[in-house]
Amino acid sequence: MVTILPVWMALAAALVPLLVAAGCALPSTRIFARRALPFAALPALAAAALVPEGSVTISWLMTGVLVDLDATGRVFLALSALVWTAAALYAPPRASSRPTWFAGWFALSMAGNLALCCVTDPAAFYTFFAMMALSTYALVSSGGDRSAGRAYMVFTVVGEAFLVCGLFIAGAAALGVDPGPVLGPVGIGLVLAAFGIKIGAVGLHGWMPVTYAAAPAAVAAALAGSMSKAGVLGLVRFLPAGQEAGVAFGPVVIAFGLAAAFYGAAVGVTQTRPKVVLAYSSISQFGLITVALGVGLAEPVAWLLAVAAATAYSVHHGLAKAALFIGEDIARRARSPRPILLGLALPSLALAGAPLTSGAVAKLVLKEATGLAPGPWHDALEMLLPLAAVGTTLLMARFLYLVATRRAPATAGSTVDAPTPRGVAAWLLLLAAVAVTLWFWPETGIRYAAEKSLTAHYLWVASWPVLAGIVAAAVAWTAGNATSRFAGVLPPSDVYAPALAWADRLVERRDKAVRVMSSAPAPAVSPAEERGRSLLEYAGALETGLLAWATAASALGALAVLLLLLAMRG
Amino acid sequence: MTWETTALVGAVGAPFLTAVLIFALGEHRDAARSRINLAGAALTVVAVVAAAVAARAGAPDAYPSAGIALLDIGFSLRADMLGALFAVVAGVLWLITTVYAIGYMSRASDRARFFGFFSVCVGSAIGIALSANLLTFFVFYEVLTLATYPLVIHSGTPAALKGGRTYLTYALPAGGALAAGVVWLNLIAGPVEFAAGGSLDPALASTHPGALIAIFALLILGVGVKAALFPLHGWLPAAMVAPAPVSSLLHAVAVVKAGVFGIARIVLEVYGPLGHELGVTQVLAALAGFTIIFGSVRALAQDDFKKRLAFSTVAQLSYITLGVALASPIAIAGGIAHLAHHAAMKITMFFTAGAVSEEVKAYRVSEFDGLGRRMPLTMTAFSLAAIGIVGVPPVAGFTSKWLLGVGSIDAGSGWVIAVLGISSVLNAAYFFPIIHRAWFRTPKPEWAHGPAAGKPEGDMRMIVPLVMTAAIGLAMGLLAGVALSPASWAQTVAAWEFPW
Repeated sequence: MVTILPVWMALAAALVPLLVAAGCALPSTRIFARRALPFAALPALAAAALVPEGSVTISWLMTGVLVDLDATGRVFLALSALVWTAAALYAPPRASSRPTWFAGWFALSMAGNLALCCVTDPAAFYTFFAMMALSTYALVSSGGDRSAGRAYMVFTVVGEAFLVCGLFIAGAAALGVDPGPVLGPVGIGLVLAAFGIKIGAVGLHGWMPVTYAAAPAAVAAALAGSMSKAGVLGLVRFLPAGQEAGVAFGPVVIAFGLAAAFYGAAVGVTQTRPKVVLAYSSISQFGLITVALGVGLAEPVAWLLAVAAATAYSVHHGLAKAALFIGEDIARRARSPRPILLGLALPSLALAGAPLTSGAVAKLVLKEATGLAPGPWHDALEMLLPLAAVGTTLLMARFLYLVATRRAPATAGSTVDAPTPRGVAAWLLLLAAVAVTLWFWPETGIRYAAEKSLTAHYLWVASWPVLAGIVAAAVAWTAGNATSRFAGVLPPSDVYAPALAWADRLVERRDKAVRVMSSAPAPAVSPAEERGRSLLEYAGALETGLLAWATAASALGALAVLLLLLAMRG
Repeated sequence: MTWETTALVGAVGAPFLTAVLIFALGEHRDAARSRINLAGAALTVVAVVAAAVAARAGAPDAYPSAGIALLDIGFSLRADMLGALFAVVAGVLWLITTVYAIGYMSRASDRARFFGFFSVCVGSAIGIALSANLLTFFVFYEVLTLATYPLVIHSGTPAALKGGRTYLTYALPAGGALAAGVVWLNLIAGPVEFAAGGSLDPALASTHPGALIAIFALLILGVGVKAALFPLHGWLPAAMVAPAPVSSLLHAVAVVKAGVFGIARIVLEVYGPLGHELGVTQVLAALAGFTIIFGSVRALAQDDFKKRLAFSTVAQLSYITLGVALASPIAIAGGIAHLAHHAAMKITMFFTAGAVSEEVKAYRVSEFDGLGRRMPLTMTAFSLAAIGIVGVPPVAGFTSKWLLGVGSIDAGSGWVIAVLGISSVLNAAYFFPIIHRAWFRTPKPEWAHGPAAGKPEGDMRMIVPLVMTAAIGLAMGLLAGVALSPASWAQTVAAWEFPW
């Protein structure tokens, strides 16, 4: 490759969407900016292809930004650019009541997501990660569901706090002030928790189903296809790569990954809305990526292979999931969902890992990595991973069933806009990407896996879980009433549903109280939140007490000064 | 006089001279007063910048200084990089605030008194910044205490008088404690000049350990009131009855930062390594950590916009205290940088409070629904400042938080990380709802279509300053790596302050 492009060009290209965001802010340029949005990620795509490997520090920017486009970052950059381009093409301009507002935040979030792929120092990564995650709040809430927006925001803010604390430790290590390993146990725990929220790890997944369901399709596609992948990239970047420090965490991470893989499938099949099913599928699929990274932690020699597997799997899952979210929306808007189902079958089969799909390749790479798992885990994974594929097949069957049987809105007035040709083109672009990407991957390891997946043995290895899943789905379908009892038994976000409902009631009650109070004279203290009341009131009472103390202390202080002056004279 | 001496005397003298002229002009010559005030502020900016240039040129042991002999312990000024940073922050923000205040106070009464005492406050703050020893520091500190009182009670309402009383209840005994500490220290150690890395003789730690601890407590008690260190912070929210420019410059920058600046001088340039040896800085750090959480929790409960900002200030000031109390140059740099960073961000927010209350008569957070449509520039500036305080990059608040967090690991005080993490969540919990109300909630019908056609969203003398300070806050974070940024400046200072 001709190396004429400087490395910092990658970051500059990734930040091109910032121009669009700025354009949205100015009245005179907003129409142009909105039109330019679908092309904003293309410079980043070009940079992923053209900017040579290398790193450079931009010392004047913030606390010094290390631009580093390594092999992994390049793949995530390309994936993100592709998914965001498709999402921007699909984003229906008329669907939002504030199109410029939407486009501005969309561009800001895009810029953060693209830029975090090109930097490796903790502060800069955090900067762009936060830019992406916080801007997305505006996109999620543009669907009109305040409750989901709140869930997203609370999880995001807590995640950011975990992350910044973890990265303080990583930053100290990067400066060489902390002589120990790159990250100690606390740091590893924080990083795992922070990115765990982003990828919907079991226990930290409460935001994902409600958010995916509430977000407009383009946003859900960007979230599932690209933004949550930033969590994977973060784990790859900041977990102690191939070092002793992480070994103890390995089994824990593997266990969490396995739990997510099965939990997502089990809860997902009971769901009644297609987008929620897709969210649970994401939880499940990220579980598999987590397993690979856990193996890499447990066995330092497996780290590079684990990273390769996580990367390939992210590409495969990101493209397929984006295609599913957009396809689901098209099916909802189309006169008949039948022809769309045909298109949805490809990414569905790919996620299940059917032969000849990207899933078959990605799962094979994953298997290579998990094959290096230590002792007992090795055998357990051999047995459990195919079962997870059965679960995914069931989930996808459930998804397709829900899309196929969804009834059109009853009232004539509430018809939705038909899909635009541009939107359909975006979907077809994603489908094409799902079909070909991993098969024409330039990296030798992936190409080798692609060839290997075509051998008779692996064709069977990939086929039987899918066949078993299809059979199970068919049985469930024919059983009819027996299985339909399970539909809807668990609300979206399952165990978190009560907490989310509680938060909704809290805000509702506060708003009502504020409306009542507005006519009264200014309150010193707002109507305190129910559960927070005791703490807040306690703090307030402490304050009042302090004033009394201050008065007493002032007398005492004056006395002390007097005594001291007397003492000095004497 | 060399140009350095001229700059020093000018930096402290210009605001006092401005005050004298304003008092002499009387109440009714508004145009002349404004012109003199702006000229005085501009002159001050030139002088403090010159002092900063002088400080940067001199090594820490070759400070340019202008001494005035007074008593046998000396009354002297000097420019060093730590003091110059505070002086430049106070001076530059004074100029911007003057423009704002002229707009804000255009319909208020007793303007001569207001602007006169305002100038005195700024002059004392710069005096505090450029003091070469504890005695000079103490004198300016007490002048500042007294000159702030007429500003707090400016409106003359019962609430204002009550706020003023609360302020004095806290501030006067603090002055006494500071005086006692200064005198006692003089008895033990002789005249105390500030010196990078600490000026006390290390031998004192073994001869007078008890006395040194007691003196430290007295000194911190003295400056801790202005630094709003728990449990000395109660006056600050009460003082929010003051007009917006007072809250903006004095209660977010000059007065409160004089307190934390005093802590920095005492911890770094009087006690130095002795503080860590005696264990007093650890106690101070713990107290600061508690104040951070406490202030943030209290801010959560405030519906009154200015009170919420005040409690946020209580918490944020302790970031600075915490930074200088930790045994790491990185943490110290974070604390010192936050002195400038917080100033730019918080002044923006108080400017916003004033602009909003003047323009649309909204005082409570619950009245802010859809305010972003009505006052887009103002609320954009506010939102930038708010996310900065929360610690969202690339606004300056993140830079100081980053240095503090990394520095706390360096200092071996990992618990600080937990404080910073919890604080970030709490900051988000009390600032994001304001942003949410302003931008994401349905506006009142009369706000939905923005400001009236062809009209600006408010008095431009108020809007332009707050947009400027927000831009400064953003630039200080975005360009933190540039040699003259507060963050880089603070890192240079910290390298001197922590040579051991």
